[in-house]
Amino acid sequence: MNYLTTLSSVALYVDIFLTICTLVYALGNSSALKCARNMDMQIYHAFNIIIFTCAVHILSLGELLLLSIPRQLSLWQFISNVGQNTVYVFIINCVRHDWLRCGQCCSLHGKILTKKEMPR
Amino acid sequence: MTSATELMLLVTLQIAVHLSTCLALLLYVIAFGLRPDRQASPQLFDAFWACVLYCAGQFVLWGINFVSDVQPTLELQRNGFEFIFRFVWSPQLSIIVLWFFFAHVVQSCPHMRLNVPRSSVVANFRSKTLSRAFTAGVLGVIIANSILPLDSFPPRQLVATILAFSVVSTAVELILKRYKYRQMSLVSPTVSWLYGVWLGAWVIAAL
Repeated sequence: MNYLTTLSSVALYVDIFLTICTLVYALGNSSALKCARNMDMQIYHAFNIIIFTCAVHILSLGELLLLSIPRQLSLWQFISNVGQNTVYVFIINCVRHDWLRCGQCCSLHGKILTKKEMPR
Repeated sequence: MTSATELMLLVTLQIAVHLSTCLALLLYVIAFGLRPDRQASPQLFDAFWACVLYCAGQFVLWGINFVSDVQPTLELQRNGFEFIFRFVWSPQLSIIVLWFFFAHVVQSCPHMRLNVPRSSVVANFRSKTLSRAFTAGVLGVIIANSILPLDSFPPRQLVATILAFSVVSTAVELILKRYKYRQMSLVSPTVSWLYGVWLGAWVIAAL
């Protein structure tokens, strides 16, 4: 039982760490967010939701820690959260590399174009 | 706080909605014949297959949860915010992110190949159909619960029934749209119905 509790606590900390990393990575690529807005509103909304989800996830896990509620982070929940963060990072990376450089959406000589400056 | 039985129903319907939406996305991937161009965009290739793997992996994870026992999750009722986050926000927002991503790759991504002509892929958004499907979901689950209390059914049976209905309904939608109207669209009345069911479960719990 102690072994499982320790494992669950470790999973909780790892989950918080990974979620913070995903949030920092998303915010660090806010230029890609601007690019996404120019390119496609769907990917822009997806990017925004990723940032929002990660922020609320950190609050939620923080509440577990602060209130010393028995850790209920089971293995399947942990794997699911890690999978969710991984998918988010892949999508952010995709937007960052692909659409920031493609020249089709926003980047001309490294400058991020505003919506008004976009070629029609 | 709602009772343990109502929470159980909410968790069960949440699982069913989540899995059914993942299944609908996988069906759409097969129906559209989506293939990312690896050479043109390795990042898109990785992101796309990660999303597909994520959808498929949800079945394994929820399966493990069901086989082990759903009951332990109800301990979360001691912490309302944590419960709502784990079973409401986080899974649904992930699904919405995936849905937006797939809509992007189907409709406008130049590095994605499709089996159907892109010109036939339309945002076939008929708000009347979607709102009817949504209302049918809300009312259907409330009426069904008043006739036959849903919490008397085993969770596995409830999830399996909704999953089966979603598969049949999504398949009918795909076949109808493709062969009758020669069009494909990611906007689905089935998913709208599922969200109606989900909201209906919250109404039952609130009443």
